Amino acid sequence: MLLRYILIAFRNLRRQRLFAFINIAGLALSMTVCLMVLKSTKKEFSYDKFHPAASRTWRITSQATTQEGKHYHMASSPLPLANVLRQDYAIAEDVVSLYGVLSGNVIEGKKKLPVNGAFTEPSFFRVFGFSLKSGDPATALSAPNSIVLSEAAAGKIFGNTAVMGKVVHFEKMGDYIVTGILAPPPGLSHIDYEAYASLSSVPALEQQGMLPNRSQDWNQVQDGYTYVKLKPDVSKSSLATALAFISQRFYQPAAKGIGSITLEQQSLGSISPSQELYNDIGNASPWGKVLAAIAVALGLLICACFNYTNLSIVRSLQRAREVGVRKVNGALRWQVFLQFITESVVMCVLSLVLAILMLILAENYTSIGIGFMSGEPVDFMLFGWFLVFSVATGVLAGIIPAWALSSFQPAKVLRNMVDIKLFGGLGLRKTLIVIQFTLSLTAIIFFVTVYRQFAYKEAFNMGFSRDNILNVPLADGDFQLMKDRMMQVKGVEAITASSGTLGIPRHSGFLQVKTATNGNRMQIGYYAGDADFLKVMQLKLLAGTDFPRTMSRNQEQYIIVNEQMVKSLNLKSPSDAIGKAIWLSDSSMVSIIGVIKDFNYQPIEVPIFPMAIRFVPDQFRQLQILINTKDKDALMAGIKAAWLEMHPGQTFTGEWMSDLLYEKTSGKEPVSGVAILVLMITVIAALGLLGVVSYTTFTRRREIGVRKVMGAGVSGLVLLLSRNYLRLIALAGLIALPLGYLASQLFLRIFANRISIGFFTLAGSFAALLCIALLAIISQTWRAASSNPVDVLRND
Amino acid sequence: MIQLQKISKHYPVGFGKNEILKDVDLTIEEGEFVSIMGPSGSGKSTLLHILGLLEEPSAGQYLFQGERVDKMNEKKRTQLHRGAIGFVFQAYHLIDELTVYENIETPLLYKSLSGSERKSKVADVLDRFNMVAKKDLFPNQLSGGQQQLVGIARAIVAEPRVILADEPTGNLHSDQAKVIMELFKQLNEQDKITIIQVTHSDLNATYGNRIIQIRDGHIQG
Repeated sequence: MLLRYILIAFRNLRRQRLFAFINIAGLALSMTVCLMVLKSTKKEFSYDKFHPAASRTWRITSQATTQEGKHYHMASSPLPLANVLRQDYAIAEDVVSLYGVLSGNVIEGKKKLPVNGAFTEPSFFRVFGFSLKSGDPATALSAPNSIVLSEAAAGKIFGNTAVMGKVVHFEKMGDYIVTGILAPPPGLSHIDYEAYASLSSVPALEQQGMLPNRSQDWNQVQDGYTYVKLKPDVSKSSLATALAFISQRFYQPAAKGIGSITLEQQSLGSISPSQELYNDIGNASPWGKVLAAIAVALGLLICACFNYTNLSIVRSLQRAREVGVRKVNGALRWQVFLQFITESVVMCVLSLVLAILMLILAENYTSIGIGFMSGEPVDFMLFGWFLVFSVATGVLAGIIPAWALSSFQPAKVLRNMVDIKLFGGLGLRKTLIVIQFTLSLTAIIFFVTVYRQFAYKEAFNMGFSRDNILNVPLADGDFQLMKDRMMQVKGVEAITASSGTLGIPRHSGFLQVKTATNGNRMQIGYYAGDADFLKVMQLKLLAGTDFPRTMSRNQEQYIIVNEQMVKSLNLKSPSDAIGKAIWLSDSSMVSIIGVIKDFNYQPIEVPIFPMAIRFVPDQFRQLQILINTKDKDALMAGIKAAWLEMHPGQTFTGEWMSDLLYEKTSGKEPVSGVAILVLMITVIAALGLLGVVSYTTFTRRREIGVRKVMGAGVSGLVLLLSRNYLRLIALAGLIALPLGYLASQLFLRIFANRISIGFFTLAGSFAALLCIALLAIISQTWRAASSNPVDVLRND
Repeated sequence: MIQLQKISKHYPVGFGKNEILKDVDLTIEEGEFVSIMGPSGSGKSTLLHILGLLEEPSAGQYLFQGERVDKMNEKKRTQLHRGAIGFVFQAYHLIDELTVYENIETPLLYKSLSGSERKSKVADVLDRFNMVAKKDLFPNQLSGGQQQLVGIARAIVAEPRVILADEPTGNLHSDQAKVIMELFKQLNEQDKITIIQVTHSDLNATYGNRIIQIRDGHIQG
């Protein structure tokens, strides 16, 4: 029976090519996105599944309240906590603490390699499912200064993995002997460091001042992570009680002017997708992103399902007789129902095949991710999910038409097919069309706004110069020597040393400052720059002077601030600020030497805050070289040669500032992502409309014939046939314009500097959609209206 | 076998009602070949639909093989459709997407017979109607007379007790009509199937052994 249903489904697809094409194309498009989301969602939920007792393992998090009353939920916890849990409470089978500060350069021969590691204890291998490829998990992390490397890190540092017993030399954190190599973990984990050194190394490092004194400090919660594997018979509430006791024992309750910490537990399974705790580790996407991706995919899918529902209902007139015949031959309603559901499932499985093909093509041959592509390979499990998903889609899409079709009374449909009243037919159909076009128009308006905002952002004058400036790293060595050497390269006009590039997110530093007079603390952003910074960046001095050429390198004396800073110091004019003293967070005192015009030192999403330029040679990370030559290749070669001369054996990485800014802050990715989604949703809606118009026009062909015989003209008929649909599009516009406006406003609120959504954005978007809809409608109605009436009237 | 007692049927039309059948009493014995005749709109088709359980009477009693069926639920009605009643239509009403073979097989599928049983029954019928060569064709590849043959084959394949035919030759020219009527006669005489047909044609009515005249919803005489 099922085979027969499937056979009929295929024969129907072949007979109704337009219907099949519209449905399969729409479903396949949206399914492709769904599959991408399914893949990435599966990945997001596959974290931390391989640990031996994942259900009994908890991470301790901290609810921290600062002195100012600000509240933070941190993923980290104080370092001494692990020992207290181990010694004073009998609930834990194992406790492990993870101290993620082992990051820095490793020096091997002439190479300098950044390594990101953590300190931890032998219990690490008992709590978590990591295993060692070589080395003994029981002892590998016992002795001080022993280290376990991931295979990748071992390969990176030593070039091969036969490294047991070798010494890893950290530039700033001492030497470690390799005692183990991690086997590749069987799954994803939020714990993903390249190296794990023994926690017993930490006290010595603290004594030598290489690490701050934190192992016994209950008030520092930045970098320690504590995990507890409870004994099998201990419940979560025992842990909660223990944590409440510990919180009481070590912290006062929060009050005005007193900061406090309360400890909480978080199950290992709920760490990824991330709940966006402060200080969280790992690279799992936050819940918001996961849910947004699912919502977008389902939205698209539902639009495609609407097409199926609509077209099936319109087409049901052609299937009504078949239903009647089947019922007369002994079919029960559920059997007819099942037949139509089978048809829609077949349709969806076919779409799935196409969608998988498109997915493979999209992943292999394009780079335009929609933001949720993942490199996760497709396994049988995932394939099973795809299949389940497409069958569910089939049921979802087919349920309304199947219900409507299976309700036909044979006596009625067999006798007189014209006066069948479809179950909610017209109203439902119109509603679905309106919903599709509303979504589509909203998406178009949103897209136009996103596009315009990013175009605006690109053209926005941030107030500093970015052209013809080459950034080269300042690895070590004296910045002045480097500058002097580089200045000899032909074509170099000026050079500044700086801590980061203006306009790049998170390149500015932050510090707390105090004025002598009121003692109020405030947070300001800063860049470290030398005496040429203003000149190279073309920042305009409003009062005072630039840094003097001769300044103490060890003792900060002067600071340059912006207008906002002057304002927040409650000074009337820039010139009033000159000479004023400011205490920096490390309580050194500097005086304001210059005031510069406000400029966007952060991306334009953010308004301009008070900021300063400091002369701190320790923090110089790069040289920014302003050039005055057209021959960039020759100049680049000259700079490279000079740089390699100063940094033998290292790799030169120079980058143009304008390119870097474009790459880091342009909206190319979001714009292309949104564009693809808009295109899909509009194509689906337009196809759906095309199908519905095509079929309803087909059913009205006799009426058209009669009208033509009576003398109706083609244009009049086209208008008559199109009018109802135009009304639907207008209704969709009425709903979508305010909706799109709101959505766009919401998006624009991210930006401190933003465009306004003009009349033309709205009108233009509507006009574009109207054009697409008109094309779909008129292509069909025109054909029907210009057909020869004799053909239809004779056949009836 | 079939007993109608005071059967009426009316449809609501606007605020009033349109009476199609009024107090129809009719008894049809097993093995009869009955022709229902009457002008257009006299209620012939409605009577046939009521006999075939496709429509419920507005009033009156209907006994089929001694059982009240006028207020039967869908499930039991479908049981009768599967086993006891076969339909033949003026417009054939074959399923376009199915081949001749598959069309004939349809009622057997809903009776959930096994594959081999279905095969042998369909083969028997095809053989008997000389349509073995055409079994893989689709309805639109057949002439009207051949389509109606398939329609009849489909009606009898489940071995019903009664066949209801609604102007079975209405769309056919006279040669084809003759073949079809001969076939009905043969089914009636050899297979002892009760046949009730609605027809306009006096010639076709002569194949049966009883004529019921209906006019304005009343049975005449």
